[in-house]
Parts: sequence; C-alpha cells; structure tokens
Amino acid sequence: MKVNLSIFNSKKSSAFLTKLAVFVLLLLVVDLLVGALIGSLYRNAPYGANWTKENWLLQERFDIVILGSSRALRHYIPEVIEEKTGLSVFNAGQNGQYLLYAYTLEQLLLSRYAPGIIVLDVLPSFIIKTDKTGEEFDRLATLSPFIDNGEVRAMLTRGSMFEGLKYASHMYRYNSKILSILENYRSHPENVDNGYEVIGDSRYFDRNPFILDTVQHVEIDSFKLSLLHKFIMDAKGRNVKVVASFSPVSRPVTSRVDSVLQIYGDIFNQHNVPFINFAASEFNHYHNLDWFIDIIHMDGLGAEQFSRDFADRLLNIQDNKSVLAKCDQHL
Amino acid sequence: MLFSSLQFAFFFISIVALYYLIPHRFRWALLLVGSYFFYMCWNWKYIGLIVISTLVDYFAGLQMAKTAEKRKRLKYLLVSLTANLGLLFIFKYFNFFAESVNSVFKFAGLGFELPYLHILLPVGISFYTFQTLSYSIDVYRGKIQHEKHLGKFALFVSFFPQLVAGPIERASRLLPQFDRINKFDPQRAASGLRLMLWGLFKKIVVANRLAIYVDAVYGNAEMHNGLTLLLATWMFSIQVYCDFSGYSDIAIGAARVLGYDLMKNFKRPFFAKTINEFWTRWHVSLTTWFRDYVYYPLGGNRKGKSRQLFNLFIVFLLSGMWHGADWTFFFWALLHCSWAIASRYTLAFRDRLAQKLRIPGHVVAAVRMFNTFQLFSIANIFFRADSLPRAMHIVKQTFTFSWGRLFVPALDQLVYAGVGVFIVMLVDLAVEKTPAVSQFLHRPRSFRWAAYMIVLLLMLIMGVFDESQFIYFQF
Repeated sequence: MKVNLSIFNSKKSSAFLTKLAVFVLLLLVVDLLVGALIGSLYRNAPYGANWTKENWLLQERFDIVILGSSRALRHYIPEVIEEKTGLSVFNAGQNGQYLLYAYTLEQLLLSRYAPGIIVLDVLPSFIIKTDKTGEEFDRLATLSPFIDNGEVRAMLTRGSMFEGLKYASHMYRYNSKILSILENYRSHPENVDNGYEVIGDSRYFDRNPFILDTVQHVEIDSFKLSLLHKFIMDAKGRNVKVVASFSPVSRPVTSRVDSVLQIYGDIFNQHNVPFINFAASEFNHYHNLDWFIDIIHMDGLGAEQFSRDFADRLLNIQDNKSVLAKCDQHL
Repeated sequence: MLFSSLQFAFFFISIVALYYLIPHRFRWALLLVGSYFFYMCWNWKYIGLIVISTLVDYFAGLQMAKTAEKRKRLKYLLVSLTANLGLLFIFKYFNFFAESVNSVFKFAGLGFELPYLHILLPVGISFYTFQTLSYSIDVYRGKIQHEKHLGKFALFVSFFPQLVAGPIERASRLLPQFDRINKFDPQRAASGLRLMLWGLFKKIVVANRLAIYVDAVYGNAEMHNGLTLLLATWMFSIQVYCDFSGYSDIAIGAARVLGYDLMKNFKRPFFAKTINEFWTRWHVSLTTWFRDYVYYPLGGNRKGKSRQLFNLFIVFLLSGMWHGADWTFFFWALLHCSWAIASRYTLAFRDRLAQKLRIPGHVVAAVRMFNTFQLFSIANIFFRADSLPRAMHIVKQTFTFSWGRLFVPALDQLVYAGVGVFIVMLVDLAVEKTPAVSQFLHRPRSFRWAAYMIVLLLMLIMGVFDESQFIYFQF
C-alpha cells in the first residue's frame, strides 16, 4: 500500500500543522505559568483545609498524628491531648475523606519523617465496598499538589497512563480549587489548634447515619483491606506505633456496624495494634445528645470530654509507654 | 471510550493521521475497523447486534432493488423492520413489558409470571437502529438506491462519531460521502476541531458540573424542599442540553475533521418561543426522523384537525418510548404532547392578547422563551426521576411551594456551574442574534487563539473530568 504523503506537501496543510504545533506549545507554556501562579497562591495562603494543613503536618514534626475522617477532625483536640501527654499532637482528620486519604497522607508523612504514634480513627466504610469508592478516589485530588511524591501519584492516577497524563498539566493539579484558594485569603477561622478547628456546643440534628446502615449489601472491599494492612505494616516498618480507635457515637451502633467493628478488632489484633472501640458498652455514657451535633459527630463539649478520656487511654496502653518515653527524650 | 476522555483523543488522532495517510480505497475499512473498535470498548459482545442489523438491512436493500413489485419489496421491508425493532424490543423493552404484564397478572390474581432477561442495554441501540431503519424505508420507497458495497454500508450503520448518540443520519446524506475522495482541508479541520472544543467545554465544564448538584438532589429527592428541587430541575434542563448538544458538537466536529458532514442536531433550543418551535431546535435528527417516517406517513396535518392531533400524539408517544422503557417517559411524552397541542391552538389568541395589551415584542419574546423553558423543565422532572412516585413527589413539592432554605452543599460548585452556564448562554445568544461564527473567523488570529486558550484553560481549571457518561448513551 502506497502511503499518501500529500498532506505534508501541500503548503496550506503544512501551515495548518505548524500553527497547530505552535498553539499546543503556547498552551503548554501558559499552562505552566498559570499553574505556577495558582500553585504559589495555594502554597502561600494564610489558611486552608488542604495544602496549608497538610503542609503544616509535613513541615513541623509532631509526636502524635491523628488520621481519619470528619469524625477524627472533630473529636480529637490536640491541646487537650498535649496537656495530658506532654507530647505534640496534630489532628490531620479531613471532612469527607476516608481510608484512601488517610493511607496516602500516611505515606506522604512517612516519606518526610516518622512520628511516635499514628492514631487512625476508623469508620465502617473504610473497608466496605460502596458505590462511592470512585468518588473517594476523586477526593484524593486534594493531594494533587503533592503529585511528585510516588505514592501520591500512584493513588491519584491508579496506575492509569491517561490519568497520569492529566497531571502533566500544571493547572489541572488545581482543578476546581481556585475559588477555595481565594477563599483562604478572604477568611479563615480564628481558633485553629494544630489542625483542629475549635467548635463550641451545637444543637443536635438527627442526621448522618453510617454509610454502612444505608447500603443494602455489606461486603468487605479487598483493595481497601489491603491498604489498611499496608498502612499498619509501613508504619511499623518505620517504628511508628499505630493506635486504632472508633470514637464515640451518640447512640448504640447497629448490629451491621458492630459486625464490621469486630472485623476491625480481628485485623488490629493480628497486627498487634491496640484498638479502642468507643462503641463498646463500657462507653455508653457517651450516648449523650448534648455532646453531639448529629448521630456520628461530636460537638466541642463532647470532643473535650472524649479527648481527655482518649489521652488517658493512650497513656494506659502498656506498649505506648516506651514510645511516649522515646518521644519525650526526642523532645 | 468517552469523547471527553484522553483515550478518545489518542484514538481520534491515530484515526485521522492514518485516514489521510492511506489511499482513499482503504479508508472505509480503516473507519469501519475503528468504529467497531470504538464500540467494542464499551462491550465487545454487543458488536454482534450491529453486525446483525447491518447484514439484515444490507440484504433487504439488495432484495428490494431486485424487484419493482411493491408486495415483494414490502416483504423485505417487513423483514428489516421486524429484525431491527425485534432486537430493540428484546434488549430495551422486554423487561419493562414483562414487568407491566406481570403487574396486570398479579392484579387479576393469575399465578403466572413472564421471566425477566438479565441483559444490559446496548449503548446507542436506539440510534443505530433508527439510522439503519431509515435506509430500509428509503430504499423501499425508492427514494435512494441500495448500497452495493457491504463494507461502506456497515460503516454507514456504525460510523464512530455518531454511532452511540447520533445525530441520526440518513443514508441519502451519509452514504454518498463515503465515496467522496476527501483531501485534507485545513479550514474544515480547524472548523471541526473548534466544534469539538466547544462540545467538550459544554460537557466537561457545564454538564458534568451541573450533574453534581442534580444527582445529589434527585438521588435524595425526598430529603429536599421545593426550592431546591426547582433549582435542580432547571439545572438538569441545562445539563441535558449541554451534555447532548456537547456530544453532538464533538460528533459533528470529529466527522468534519475526517471530511464528512453530519446534520445539525441542536439549534439553540432555549431561544424557542413555543414548545413547537422548541422541537424544531432540539434533537433535530430524531424529530425529523419521526416527521419523515411516522408523522407524514400517518397523514401529518393533511387529514383534518382531529387526525393531526392523533398523529401528534403518536409521534410524541413513540418519542417517549424511544427515550426509555419506563412510565416516566410515557408521562414525559404526554406532557410534551399536551403542551405542543395547547401551544398550537392558543398561539393566535396569545398574539392578539399581546397586541391588545400593547406589550412590546421583545418582552413577549422573552416571556415566551422563559415559559418554553419552564414547560421543558417540568417535563424533565419525569425524564430525570428514576421512578414515577419520585417524579410525582418532586412535582408536588415544587408546585405546592413547600419551599424552605436552598440546599447549597458547596457554594463554589454553584459558582463554577454559573460561570460555565453564563458562557454557554452568551455564546448561544451571540450566535442566535448574529452569524457569530463567521464574525469570529474574521477576527484577528490573536483574538481567536486567545478565545481557544481561555476555553481550554477554563476546562483545566473548572472542568469535571470524572469519566461520567453522556446522558443520551442510555438510549
């Protein structure tokens, strides 16, 4: 078959292809420049739930780092735990984020330094299959400014060449973030305590059941489970103590949630990881609606009570003493 | 492989490059293989359905061409209709039919149940079925010659730019183009790429962004008040427009780069002043299909008013069924039919009233556009809701004005959506008022390049690249 090269011979066609190439080149330059500008705005923002908070965690060294969802974010008050333990604490919990985020942030953290203890506040949905797993991956985009880190890249692109190509764009890294970046300059909370935003007492609303209680079929997600195992093993590999916790809820959990908590118990037991399950009957005194804003989230008063209790339990975990002593010496 | 994915970008660039590099006589084969590959990326098993439709209609066309006897020709047309509509029925309507029949049996106390088929709906089946049916009907009517080249006919059925969501082309327009020797035309290529870019903007920046709010609200309709449901319904109307017209733009643009012309599918429908005018601007390839192959053969408006009403009803009913096998689509069709009839018979009165009240023309036009959009949106409640009870709930909540605080999960989402919608409407307005495309082309290159650059940058900054399907793929 004779290849038809007339397209390259015609003057008009060559001019078109040249113009197209120039345009693409120009686009790459503009992408680089605008991406750098937005990146600089992002990094220099005085406040932010993402970069600023994550970068804070990564730049300073903390003895205890708390990872998890909005429950972790609202329940663990660093100041209270610091007062009891005498160690520096950072609350890296994030709204709407689950195990994928906690795992990726842990990897990012371990690539910078090894804290003494990582507390993982678990949710049943961390290891079950949901139709929102895709969404969970999408939400990892908050970590896209750290795309140069191998683990972050692997999680964001999920090994897909095409996903990886998207991140070749410097602007795409800040996709859908421009308004929140500008908002970070406009207003920020006055009272921020090592990642935790101080919340006062709030009115209780009967909302936010566990995802587990809203899905029809409960199945363990093998991918998420493998991440959880890796989360623990990688921390252990860096001599970081992992403590798992299921922080309090406003009412007794359903049998479905309880069955997943039992699975968690087995997993953590297998790895010799202490697991404090605040849904157990000995913690029934937490079923106090004055301490909650909804079924699963505590308000400021509840968080204060809980943080004290949690710090005591952290001190009482036998294995922790040596870790805490090591942190003490380090300080 | 979605039009809005990088996979498609690679696929398309490869096809275009190969297409212009190989001699004309092999191009149909390249496009056919490419089209089958494109379809098989969704579900390779269903390519068999396209092959069956192709073979049946190809041979039906051959047989019809062999005889001038009407009865024999009709026999082959019926073979084509039965095979194509039969496949469509099995894959798209059987479960709905079984469910409806079983409900009747249950109501009558009969202990019999039709079994359900555990099959997926093949992507684009309604589109390619209607396209290939138009060929058989036109050959039967003697409007076109049958196609002798099986490969080119197969390409007509499966041409990848319009295979899964149209525009539904006619054989008389598309088939002769496969014989034309297309030389690379930079102007056409630029025009095609421009259209593809604009289609992508509509899909990625507007439709996908609006979908986030619409899905959140319609997915939990019972949890939301009337005001939120109303906003979500309006948003859905714009979403479905940007989604579908965006797809059509990409399809037309992709075909244009390859040197083929596809029919225009959308003509800025939100500027329609009546619901009847709306249907001359919305999904034009389907409405003209129904006009040519259903409405006119039934007598159109030539057999008196009552017959015309009946014909309109049939067309809307079929259009509703074409969209989906569900009672929600039946109601959607019923609403559009009622409004089309009401609009037709009250137009003269409304014109007189406006004159009598001395309402300026532009005010009348604006009010009518607004009303048409509202009517379209109300019908869309049934189009979007996943069940009839949920649609009824949304209608009730919205129209009993049980309004409260607007659900705003993230203000920035609404702002991004607003910016996108504003740009699309501004461009549509410019094109509606003036032949903006030609004006745009006469602008200096720096202006045009800046415009392309802005569109691309907005896509990178505000686009939602979440691999969400085009809404019309489900049909």
